[in-house]
Amino acid sequence: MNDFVAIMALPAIASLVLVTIHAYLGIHVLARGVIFVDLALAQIAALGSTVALLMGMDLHSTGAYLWSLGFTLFGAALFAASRTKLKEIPQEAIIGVSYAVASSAAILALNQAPHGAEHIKELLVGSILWTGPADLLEIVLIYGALGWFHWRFRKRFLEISFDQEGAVERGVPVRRWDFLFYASFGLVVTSSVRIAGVLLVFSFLIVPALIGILFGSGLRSRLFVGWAIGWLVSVVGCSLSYLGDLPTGATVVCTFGVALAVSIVLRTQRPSSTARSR
Amino acid sequence: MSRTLMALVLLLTGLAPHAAEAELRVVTTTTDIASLARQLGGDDTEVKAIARGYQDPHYLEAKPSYVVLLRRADLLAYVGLDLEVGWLPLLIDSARNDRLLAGAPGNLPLSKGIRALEVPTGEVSRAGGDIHPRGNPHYWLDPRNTLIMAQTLADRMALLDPDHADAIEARRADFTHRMQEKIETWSARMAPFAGTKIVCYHKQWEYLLDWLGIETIDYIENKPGIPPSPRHLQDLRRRMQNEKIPLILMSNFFDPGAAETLARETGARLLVLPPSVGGEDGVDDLFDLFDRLVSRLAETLGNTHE
Repeated sequence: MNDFVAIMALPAIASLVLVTIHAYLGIHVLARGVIFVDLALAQIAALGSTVALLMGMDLHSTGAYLWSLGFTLFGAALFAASRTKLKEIPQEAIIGVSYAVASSAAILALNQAPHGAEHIKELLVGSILWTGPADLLEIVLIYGALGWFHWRFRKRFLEISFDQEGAVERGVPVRRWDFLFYASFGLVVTSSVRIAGVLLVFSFLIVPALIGILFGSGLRSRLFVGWAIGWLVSVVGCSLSYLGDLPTGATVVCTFGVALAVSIVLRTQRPSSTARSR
Repeated sequence: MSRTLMALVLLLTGLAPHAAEAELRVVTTTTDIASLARQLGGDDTEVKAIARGYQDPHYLEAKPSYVVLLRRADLLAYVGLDLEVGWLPLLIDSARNDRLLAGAPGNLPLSKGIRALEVPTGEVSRAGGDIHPRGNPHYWLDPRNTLIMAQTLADRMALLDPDHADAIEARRADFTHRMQEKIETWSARMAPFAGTKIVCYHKQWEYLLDWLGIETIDYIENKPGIPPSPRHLQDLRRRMQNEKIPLILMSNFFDPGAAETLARETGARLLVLPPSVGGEDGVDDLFDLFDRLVSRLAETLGNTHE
C-alpha cells in the first residue's frame, strides 16, 4: 500500500489536473468539430522543437521551448484564419493536412540529425508514470493561468465556439478570439503531451466531454459530469495499471474507452428528455 | 465509494510482495548485467533485471513494477554511456530511493574502466551525428570487457555487503578464470574469419566485431533511427555485389524486411542474432550468449566460404 501511494500519487494527481483542463477544452473542441486539433498542434510544436534541435539547442532549453511555442502560435493563427476565411472547406481537413505535413517535415528535418528521432518521440510519448513534482507544478501554474483567462472571458469563448454566426453578427472579432482559443489550447497541449503522451491527452480531451454530453444538459452540468467521470476513471485506470503492472498511459486510455462504451450502453437503454437540450 | 476504496486498500496490502530477505538487493537495467550479478552474488544476493533480453534498452515502456524494484534496491547497476538516458534518470527520480541517487554507492555505471569505441573527437553536435557523445555503449558484446565489468561490479557489491566480500571476490575470480578460458576457445574458432568484410543493419555489434577482427563496410540504417534512403540502398547493393560481401548481421529486435531483400538481391546471408542474455531461448547467461554468437557466426561464415 505504501508503494502504491508513493508510486501512483503523482501520476494520479497529474491525471486529475489534466482531466480538469482537457474536459473543459474538449467541450469546445466537440462544439467546433475539430476533434484532431490537439494531435495537429502537438505535432506542430514537435516540429518547432526539431528545428531548435537542428540549430544545436538542447531540447530542454528555453530556446527550444520558444521555438516550439512560436510554431504553436503559427498553427493557432493558421487554424483561426482557415475557419473564418475558408468557409467552403471543412476545418478538420486543414487540421488533418497540417498534422501529416508537420509529421513528415519533422522526419525530413531529422534526416540531418541522426537519432534525433528518439528525442522527438520523447516529446510525443511522454509517460505519465514518471511525472515529477516539478512537472506537476509547471502544469498547475500554466493551466491555472489559462483557466483563469478562459473563465474571465468565458462569454466570448463560449459564443465563438457555440454560436459563431451570431457572434459575427454581433460584431465580435471572431478571428482574434479564435486565435486566442487555439493559442491557449496549443499551450496546454504542448505541456500535457510532454507529460502524458498524445494518446492519453486525446482521451482526456474527448472522452469526458463526450460522457458529459451523454448525461448532462447545459454547459455547466456537462462539465461537472465530465469532470466527475474523468477523475473517477483516471484513478481507476492508475490503480489497474499498478495492480496489473501494465504501462500506465495505455491502461488509462483503455479504461476511458470502457467508460465511454458503458456510458453509451446506459444512455441508449435509458432514453431521457435531457439529451436533446444543449 | 468509500467501500470500493476500502476494498482496494485491502486488495493492495494483501498483494504487496513480501520479498525474501536477501542480504543485498541488486537491480540491473539489462539481463547481461543481471547474469553477471548472479554469478558474483550467488545465494546471498537477489538480482532483478528491468529490461528483458529481447527488448531494446534504448527505449522502455514505463511500468509501475520498475519503480517498485528500484524503491527496494540497494544497488542499481547499469550500462551507462547514455544507453539508458531516455528512461533511467526519470525512473530514479520516481523511485525516490536515496541509495540509488547519482554519486551514491548504490548507483553504479559499469562503463567505468571500459575503453569506449567511437568516442567523438572535437566538437560534439547532434547535427554531426554524434548521438552518443561518450562513445558506443554496447561494450558488453566484447567478452574481454565482461572481465572489467565483473571486477567493477564485484568491488561495489563487496563494499555494500562486507560480510560476504570474500565470497564475492572468490566467485569473481572463478568467473574471470572461466571466461578467460572460453575467450581463448572462441578466439581460436573465429580466427579463420578475421579480416572478413560484412554489412550490419545498425550500429550495435562494433565491440564484438572489433574483438573478432571483422570489418563492417557499411550499415543499412546509415543514419540511426531513420529509414535508409533509396539511393543509399542502391549504392549499398552495388558495393555488396562488387566486394562479394558474404554476410548481413542484425539483432532480433529490428524488422528484417529491408535486410532480407538486400540479402536476396546480393546473395549475402542474413544472420539475426540476440544482442543480450535472454534474447533467445537457451541463452541464459553470458557464457551462453557468446557461445551462441560465436557458433552462429562461425557456421554462417564457414558455409559462405565453401
